[in-house]
Amino acid sequence: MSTTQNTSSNGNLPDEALHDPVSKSLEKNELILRNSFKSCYDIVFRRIQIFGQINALLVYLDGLVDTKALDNLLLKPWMLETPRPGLGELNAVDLMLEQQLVSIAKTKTVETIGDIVQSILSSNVVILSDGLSHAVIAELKGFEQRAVEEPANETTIRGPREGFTENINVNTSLVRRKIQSTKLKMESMTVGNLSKTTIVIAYIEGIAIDSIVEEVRKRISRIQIDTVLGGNFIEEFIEDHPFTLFPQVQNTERPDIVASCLAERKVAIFIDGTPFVLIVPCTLWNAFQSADDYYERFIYATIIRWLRMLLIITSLFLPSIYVAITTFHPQLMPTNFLLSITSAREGVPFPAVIEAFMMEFLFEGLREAGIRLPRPTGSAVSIVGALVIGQAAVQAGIVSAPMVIVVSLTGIASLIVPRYSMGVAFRMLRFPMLLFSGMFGLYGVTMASLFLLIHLTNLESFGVPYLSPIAPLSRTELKDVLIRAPRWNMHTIPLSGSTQNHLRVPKGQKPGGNQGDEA
Amino acid sequence: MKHRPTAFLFLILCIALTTGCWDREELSDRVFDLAASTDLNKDGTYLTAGQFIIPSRIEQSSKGGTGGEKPYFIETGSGKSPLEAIQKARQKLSRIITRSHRRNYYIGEDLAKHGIKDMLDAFSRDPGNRIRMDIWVVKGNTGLEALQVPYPLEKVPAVASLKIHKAVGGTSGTSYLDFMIASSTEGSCPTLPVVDIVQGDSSQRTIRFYGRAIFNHDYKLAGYLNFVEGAYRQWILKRISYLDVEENIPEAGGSVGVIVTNFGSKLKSRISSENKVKMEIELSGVGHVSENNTNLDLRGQKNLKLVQNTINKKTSEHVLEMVTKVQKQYGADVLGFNEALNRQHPREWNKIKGQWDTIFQDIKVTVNVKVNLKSVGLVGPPLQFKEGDINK
Repeated sequence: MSTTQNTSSNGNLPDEALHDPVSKSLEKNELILRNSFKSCYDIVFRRIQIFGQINALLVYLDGLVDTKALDNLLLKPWMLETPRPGLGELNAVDLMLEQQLVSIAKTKTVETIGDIVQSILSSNVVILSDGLSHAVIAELKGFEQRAVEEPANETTIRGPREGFTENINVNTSLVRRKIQSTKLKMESMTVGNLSKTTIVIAYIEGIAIDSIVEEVRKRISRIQIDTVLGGNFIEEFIEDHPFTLFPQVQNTERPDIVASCLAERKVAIFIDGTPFVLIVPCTLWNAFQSADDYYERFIYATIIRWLRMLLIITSLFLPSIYVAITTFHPQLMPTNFLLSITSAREGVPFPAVIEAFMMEFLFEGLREAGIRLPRPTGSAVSIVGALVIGQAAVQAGIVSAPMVIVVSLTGIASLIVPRYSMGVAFRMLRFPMLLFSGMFGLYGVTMASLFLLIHLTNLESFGVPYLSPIAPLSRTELKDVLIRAPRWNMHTIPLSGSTQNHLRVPKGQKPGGNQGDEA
Repeated sequence: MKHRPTAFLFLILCIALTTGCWDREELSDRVFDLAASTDLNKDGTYLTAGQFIIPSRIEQSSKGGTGGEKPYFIETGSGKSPLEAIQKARQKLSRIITRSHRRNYYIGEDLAKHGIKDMLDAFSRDPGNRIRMDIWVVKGNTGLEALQVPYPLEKVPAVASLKIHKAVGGTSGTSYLDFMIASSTEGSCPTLPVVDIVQGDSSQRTIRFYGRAIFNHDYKLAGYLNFVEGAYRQWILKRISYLDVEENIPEAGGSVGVIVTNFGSKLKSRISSENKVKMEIELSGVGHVSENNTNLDLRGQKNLKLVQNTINKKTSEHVLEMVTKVQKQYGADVLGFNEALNRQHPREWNKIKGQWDTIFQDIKVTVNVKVNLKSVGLVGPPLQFKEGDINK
């Protein structure tokens, strides 16, 4: 993992002191450090004597360091045991500390006070010693963290069950385990003046598009922010079009999705402290792809993908079409349907469009309340919502029964989008759609759809058009958009464009008599 | 310049919000008529009526609870022209009449005889009118009467005539369009389907599909074809999907009934130098025996051929009778002969089309029905017969 430390102003230390080299005097170093960590109750300064001869100082933050390992690996051999034979002159401490005495996998040396402070803050143990003009950093991270669990938001039936955690090292390792190749590059950066959040840009060299990687690097490095606490902190800085409902950065909690996206020429951005990994570029069709599509048999996956698309279209258009047809074009209904609808709407006090707005508004309210409320109260909300809206409002004649059906159908349909952030766009867009249909009927719906289409064709994500590969059309890439082609038929990588022709699955692997023959 | 797109959008919004082009109309502000009628009053004015649905009663009647209350009402108006009559009816209605679901229009016999020319234009001019509509002539009665006849199977009785027509093998929703096409085609005369009002089995009167009404070139009623005649005519035009044919088989001393489906028809015309036209009508179909009152075992090829030939021969005679009736009695070409001639002899047609009405009456017609009996049902001979009585 290559490191480009981004040092900037820090804490109590005057800026110029940060670049000061580590002094040879242990007392002086300790003084500076104690000064920096003034009023920090969790800092630990531990003075020891290695083999009773060398004065050393261990500095770390309590709670961030695995103290058991620290005791066993450093303190115990140094204080209770005698030096091994052949260790040589104890005076040549600097080499020895690093190469022979610190029995810890990941170490490095730093030479400025600022780096020491930073290392302590990122939960390392800093070892300073008398007469040494640098410090040894031993990584002994040992803070509390969540185990790798199944992600709650993106469940699959047949796919792997592991999900990212809040720890970036765990996250990158989860992906590394899936792509065991030196071509998988992970560049780390630090963003956030206060939070010093580690961000890792991952891509596969030779497969990822260089211009996109470069663009990601550029956009992330120019971010100036105090804290980065989640994916959206970065997303909002790097997306192409801020004023749109459609997300141009995909996020996921699943290592398998990240791995497959990396193989599909995309770039992943890991952010420490959040289980969500950002993936760029992202297109609209991501909204229709779920992880399970790739773990189920392809025919079923295609059918389910169509079901999803139909329901997403339903969620966008159903209320507006209902309003348009009942209030502008009653001739479009079958006669018997008209009879039922007119009798149900008889005596309802509000115009259909107002009714639709009320109910959709209420549904969104219920949905939001269901998410925000503490778990035990959540079910109460849904019961009250169902009873009050579904039952009582209809019986009281305030709302017509068909409208309740339309709204609940829309509600269910809108929650089917596998990518939550994409679903939000469709859920919100049905309100302007409703406004247009209430004003102009089906003309309005058509107009609004055209506006939407124009808007979508205008969007792009890191240089990739939002509607590609449909618009602009690229035939070879259509195998994973409207259908999910069988694996043995997905020969080329999506996003290949015309620049390079990456072969992903060699031809001639279709099961059957000719399997293995060159097609 | 910077805010140009915003200003543009704002202006568009202004067009939408301030120009008042909101033609939104709630369902509760509309009244739907599923059927309407026009009649001729004694004094020569028009009487128009509509069968309007009452939405609040539809649910009750579908729940089957209270009953009694009909989910529709009839409102009338009369005036010098159809529009004025409608205007008079609207004075009594609290909601806007929406005609987009009106699929039935009844015309009284008196009006049909008087001519329906004046009211046709209103149908085609009004965009709210649907083109897939059936216009019915009410034989021996008024259109208003047809609206008032209750029909127990349907929520709104007006739907009944349409559905009956469909159920007996006719086409639905095309008679208005066909009427207009026939009117504007050189040589042909328009027709309309006919219903009449009869005493049903119970004390109620009910509506019955009668047949076909033939109009002359002045849109005046010339006469009727009854149900079977109408069906033969539809067969010639390939507009039929189902027909029962029952014929006596003298050789076997009984009758055989056949359901005919898969209809086909071919018209072959010949024209001589003296403008004498010969028309050969070839009707085909697939028959399924549904009744056998003879002692024939229809599993035998010989017996089946006998039945088939007899049925074909007799049906041919009946069709010819119908064609002759149309030719001699009504003198109106409603059989598509003009189109057949036009297609098959376009040059000659251009010469004679002016005198088609007289030529039509003298066309020598031969009819050849070819019903192919494909199935005899589950049994060969009638089951109640003893072995010895059966003619194998």
